Amino acid sequence: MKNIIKPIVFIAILGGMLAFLSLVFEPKDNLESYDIRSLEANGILGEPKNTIDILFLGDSELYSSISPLQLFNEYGIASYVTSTAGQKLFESWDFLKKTMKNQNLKMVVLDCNLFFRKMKYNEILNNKLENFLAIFKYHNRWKHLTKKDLLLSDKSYTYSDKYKGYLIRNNIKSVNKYYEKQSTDKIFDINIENVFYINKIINECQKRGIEVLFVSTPSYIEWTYAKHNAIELLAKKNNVSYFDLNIDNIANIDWKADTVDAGDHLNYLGARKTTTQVGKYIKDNYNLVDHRYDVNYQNWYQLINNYYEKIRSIEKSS
Amino acid sequence: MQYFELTFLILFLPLVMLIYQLVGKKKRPFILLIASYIFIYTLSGKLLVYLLLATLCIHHFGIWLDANKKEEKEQIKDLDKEEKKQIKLKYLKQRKGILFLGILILMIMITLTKYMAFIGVNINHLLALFKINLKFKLSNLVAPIGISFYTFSAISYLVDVYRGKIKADNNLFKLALFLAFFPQIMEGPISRYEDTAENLYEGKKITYHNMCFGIQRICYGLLKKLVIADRLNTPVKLIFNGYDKYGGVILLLGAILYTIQLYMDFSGIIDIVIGTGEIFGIKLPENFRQPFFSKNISEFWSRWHITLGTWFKDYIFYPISLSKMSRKITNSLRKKIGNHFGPLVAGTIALGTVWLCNGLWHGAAYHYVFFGFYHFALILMANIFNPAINNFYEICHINPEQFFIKAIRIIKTTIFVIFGELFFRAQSLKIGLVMFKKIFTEFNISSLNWKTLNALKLFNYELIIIGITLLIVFIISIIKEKGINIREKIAKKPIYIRWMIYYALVLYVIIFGAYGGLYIPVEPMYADF
Repeated sequence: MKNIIKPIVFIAILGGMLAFLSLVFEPKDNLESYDIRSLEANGILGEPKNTIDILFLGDSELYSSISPLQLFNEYGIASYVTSTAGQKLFESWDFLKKTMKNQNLKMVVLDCNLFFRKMKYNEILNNKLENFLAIFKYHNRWKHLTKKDLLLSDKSYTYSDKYKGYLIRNNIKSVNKYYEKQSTDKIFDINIENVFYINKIINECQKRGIEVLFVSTPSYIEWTYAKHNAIELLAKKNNVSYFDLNIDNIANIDWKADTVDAGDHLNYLGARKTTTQVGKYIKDNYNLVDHRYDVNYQNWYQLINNYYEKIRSIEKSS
Repeated sequence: MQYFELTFLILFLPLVMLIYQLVGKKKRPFILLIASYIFIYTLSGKLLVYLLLATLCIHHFGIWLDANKKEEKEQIKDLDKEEKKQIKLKYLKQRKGILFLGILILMIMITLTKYMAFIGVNINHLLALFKINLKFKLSNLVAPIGISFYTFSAISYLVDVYRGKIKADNNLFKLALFLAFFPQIMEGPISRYEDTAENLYEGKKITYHNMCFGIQRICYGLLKKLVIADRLNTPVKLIFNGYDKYGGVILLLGAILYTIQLYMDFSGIIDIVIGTGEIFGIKLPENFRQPFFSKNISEFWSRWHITLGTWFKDYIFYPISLSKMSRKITNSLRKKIGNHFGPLVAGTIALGTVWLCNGLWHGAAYHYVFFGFYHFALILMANIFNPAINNFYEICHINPEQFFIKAIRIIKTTIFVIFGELFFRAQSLKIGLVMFKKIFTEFNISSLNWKTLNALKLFNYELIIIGITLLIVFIISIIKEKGINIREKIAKKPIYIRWMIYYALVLYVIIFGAYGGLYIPVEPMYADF
């Protein structure tokens, strides 16, 4: 009996220590100096309470395609892009959970490129452990722990991204040889663990009355008809709308001029076209409040001015 | 899933321990076998089939060898001496054939996955030399994890059965577990059947003592691996990948850091492996014995990757040096050049073969072959000059075991090792030679400054952590070298001191380990060899 009690006590004390250290090491702000990775995406944490209606979740395809400031300017939609390079669905789930703590979301848009990124069980488990005990994720902060950390101060997030998660890119690298993609009945296989997380996100949203929309942003390299078929099937199964901008080239993307890397990601020209189309689709199909004349959103205009100023300077120099 | 990852340490291992403990004694080895196959599957997927084939191969050929021996015994009954000799010779020849076939199958698997590309390149070089306009495009098949390790264990099993050292095992599961045991599949140590198979199959209960000692050893391994080896990954990569940008001092620093990294990585993983075995009451062979306290290269290799060294000694060196041909050479040369140099020639041939194999075992590339021959040359020189050096010590009344002289000899050996590792880590032999030359021709001490160190991601706080941890490892090594069992000593301390030490160790690794964020973990280096 003694031999069982001792390890249990040892582990319990260790667990207590780790839990305490997790409180110490957990970032108290969403600034770079607090070892926050993917700063732009984590900027959502710094947005004022209940001001974001739409959360865009995705990978680099998404932050190259959707500009929330343009969406606001054109349609009055208050949104944020929490996409990160190579994002995996368990990370999307984390972003959604974190965001829902502070925002009363009306809609979640999932960029469907996420559905095809493989996740290893190992990564998923690691992520779960890191979420459970923050010390494992933020242990490197020992180099710059602050008084705030040692006093276990409350978290207050002060950073928000000036483009609301969008990444402006202006260089052009055309698609070398453009071929029209052939339609097929084949269905791309979505991994079971990815389906699990997609369902998890949908269920959580439906439980809270949040609309879910699947979007395939334009990508000449990533997109195929087989993937489209798989997403369409999944959307039907879950009673979710699916908007694919690759079919019939709805956004009128010019693959000679609108891409930064020969067809994978869009530059600001492609993003402008895509954002307009996505905004139009949302406006036509969902009943969202237009915040353009809302006094609580006046600070968005300063950001919008800076954003268009930046776009103008890019256009001028090119 | 790797040994140093949270999923292994916090989920996989505890789960295996729990199931192992709950089931009956007889079922325990099967739990270990299933866990091993799951572990290997997570790393190599369907390539697990190579291991299954190797298992079936040694099982079948082992039984075949034994059956042949039995048949021989039956046959020689009631025969006269001369006839017995004839029959014995016939059966020995048959067994040689069986052994050869078994080893050939194992070697084909390892060659297809590791050496095909290298063979292709060399054939093309040869053809070009003879101006034959023909080119082969050979490439390696994807290698399953740990193939170099379990193939050597498998060969040792077959040879030992052939030599009559052990009896062939009919129990396929026991053999399967011997080859696949999950803690040692990736980086060894290379086990011998006689040492570990029985122990593995015993299904001993996990005891409190074994669990404590095992976890303790795992934590010490993690300290070496996560705090030092992984922390040095970025600077080592920057120096070796950008060797043309740096002068001699930085390249020498790179070689030193790589030597530290390699030792911390490999010995750290071995600590985790042995510790994991210890939890299940399985004693795996030690692979390191404070190698950086060696006074010469021969001693270094008896303390570094011990199981590989002894494998080469038992299955390559002795068979060659004790062969009829070698004995003939030795006997004739002994008369001509004396008792010291006479046996040296045959020994040198065997030694050369060992080091060629050692180099190639590490990888199919010329810098590995060079690495092997570099150590061969150092050992050979020591063998030749040892009598002269000993005479020198005697004439000058120097005691080579005196502290100061010993320290000089240790430093000298360490320097030799560091230069060897430079070639080992270099991307090619040519680059290794360029780096080696630069160390002597472009040695400018002023290039070692904070700016350069910071550019190599060796910031002050990183250096402090590396320094403190190296000091901890160094002190523990000295204690071990003095023959003091530090673990037993700690175990005898009162519980509050013991637990404080354990908590400090665990928290030190968790907080200061170079994992997550911008750190890129070193892929377990020896797993690729």
